[in-house]
Amino acid sequence: MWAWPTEEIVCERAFLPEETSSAAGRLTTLESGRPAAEADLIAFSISFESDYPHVLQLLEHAGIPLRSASRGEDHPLVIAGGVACFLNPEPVAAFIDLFLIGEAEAILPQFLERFRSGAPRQELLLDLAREVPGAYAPAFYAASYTAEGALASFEPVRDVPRKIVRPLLRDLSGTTTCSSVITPDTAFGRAFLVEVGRGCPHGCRFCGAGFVYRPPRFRPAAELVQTVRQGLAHTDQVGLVGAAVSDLPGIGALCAHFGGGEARLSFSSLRADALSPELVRALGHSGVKTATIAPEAGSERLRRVINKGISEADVLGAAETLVAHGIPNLKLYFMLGLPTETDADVQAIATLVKRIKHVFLAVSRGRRAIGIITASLGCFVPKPFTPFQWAAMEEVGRLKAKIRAVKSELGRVANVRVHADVPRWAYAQAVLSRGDRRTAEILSRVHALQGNWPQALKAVALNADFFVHRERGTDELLPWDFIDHGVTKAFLKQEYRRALEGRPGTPCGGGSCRLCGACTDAEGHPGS
Amino acid sequence: MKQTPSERKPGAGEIGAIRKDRRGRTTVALVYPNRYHVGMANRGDCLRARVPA
Ligand code: SF4
Repeated sequence: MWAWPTEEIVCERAFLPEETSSAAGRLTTLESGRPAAEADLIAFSISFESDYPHVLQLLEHAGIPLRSASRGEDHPLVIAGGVACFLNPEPVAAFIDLFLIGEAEAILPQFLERFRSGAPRQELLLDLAREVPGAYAPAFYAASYTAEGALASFEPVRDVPRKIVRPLLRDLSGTTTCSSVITPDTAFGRAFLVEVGRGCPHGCRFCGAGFVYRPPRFRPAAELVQTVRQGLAHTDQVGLVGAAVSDLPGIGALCAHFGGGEARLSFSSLRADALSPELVRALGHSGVKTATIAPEAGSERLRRVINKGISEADVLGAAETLVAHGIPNLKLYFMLGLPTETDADVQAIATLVKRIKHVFLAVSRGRRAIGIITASLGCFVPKPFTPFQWAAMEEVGRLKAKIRAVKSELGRVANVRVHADVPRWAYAQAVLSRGDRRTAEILSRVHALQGNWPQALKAVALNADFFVHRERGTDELLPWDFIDHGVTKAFLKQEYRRALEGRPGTPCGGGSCRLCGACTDAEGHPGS
Repeated sequence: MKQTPSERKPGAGEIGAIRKDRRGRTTVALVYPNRYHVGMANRGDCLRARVPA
């Protein structure tokens, strides 16, 4: 969540309306009920590309022209941040005046100072784009394309930086990110959320967060104890969040400190190979009913390709430990359509789930109720800024067949449920994740047709398959190459090669090496 | 991540929300491009490279 400096700033929230008919009045803010369009600044926080169509809906609902180019002095400035934009802002670029790419704490103070100058719109935008770290104003850049339709060039047309270097907070100690609002009505329940760190050292090759938030950083455990204490004044439920919560140095002590009685701790992510006794005890004590394990792939070979770094023994061990500590239900995440996947790998998903069930039953025996195992099958979308950014996404028909294959193996197994993504939606997500700025045409059409993707894709001149199903050359200019997240393209290329050869990833030195480009020396120079 | 459906009005039952006087200040509408129950749950950005289930 963006933390806004509170002095002299009034920040109110707005959401997509609950009613489906957007004709029901203007978009208003939650706190004061005023029209959002009356604010000086509209700031979108976008975590998922699949929410881009909602950005258009919300702008229309607010009464603000959809295209940045159609806005004038009377309209609020429309800015956007959030990890979806960090990976690739281009598909939604035509609708946003300014993106803030990078961690808010390292951007907002300078942004707000300049924003409050009150300069005329164009002058203000140029000043922001030039002076604020991580600021990207799409209108000041122009793209050209090859005859085949790939990106040929991407250049500034005004005096603005060629590359957007995303700033990040080098050191998290002395900063806190936690809930300022506790709400009972969300997926986390009435929990006080505390961010334990950012970034993840594991380098799973499918995960965008694993590369753009490098280097991994954690807060000192002693500071977290203080933050959790503050939260306990309001609620006994505390959610520890981060990409790699189980990697937090001192997590065991933190769990032992609070997990015994006063707090009910939950975790946004845990690795199956890192379930220490303190952690599992805290989890059991919290009353959590379902724990998630993410093997992502069924076979050891394919887990090596994606660099998941978790063995079958880890997975089975985790299942056993969790159930033994009184957490009755398991949720297992898998992905279909991963690079190099064969029918044997798909088959291996069903085999692994059956083995997990075997362990699950053995431990559950003697307990009053036997829980449910839910296998969740996602469709893999190759994400920007990952080693798989060049890979083609699997065809929708093939994905359907693979889902059917797993379902037919597991469909009749007692205590096991299978839940699968809709491949068509994953395709749409891939368009929004991998497209260049011409994707605006698709988004406009989807909006005009009220979400009818098949019709929209037929109506536009653009061939979306070109973004989704084409393996890109490693020397091709990619739509998101103008952003510098630290990690070098050479490193990602090497990881892609190693993946296709089934070799494990280059381990992250946790700040002590110069291998991927994200860490710099004392003078700020990256490694070789 | 699971979405908990709720019949409650967005914002009802919140602790800590501040309702400030807007006079003479820069006003920001922080917009989450999703429904309240999903938007407020995404604050942790516990992101995985695909659609959250
Ligand atoms: S340079 Fe080394 S330590 Fe820093 S993020 Fe990259 S791999 Fe990790």
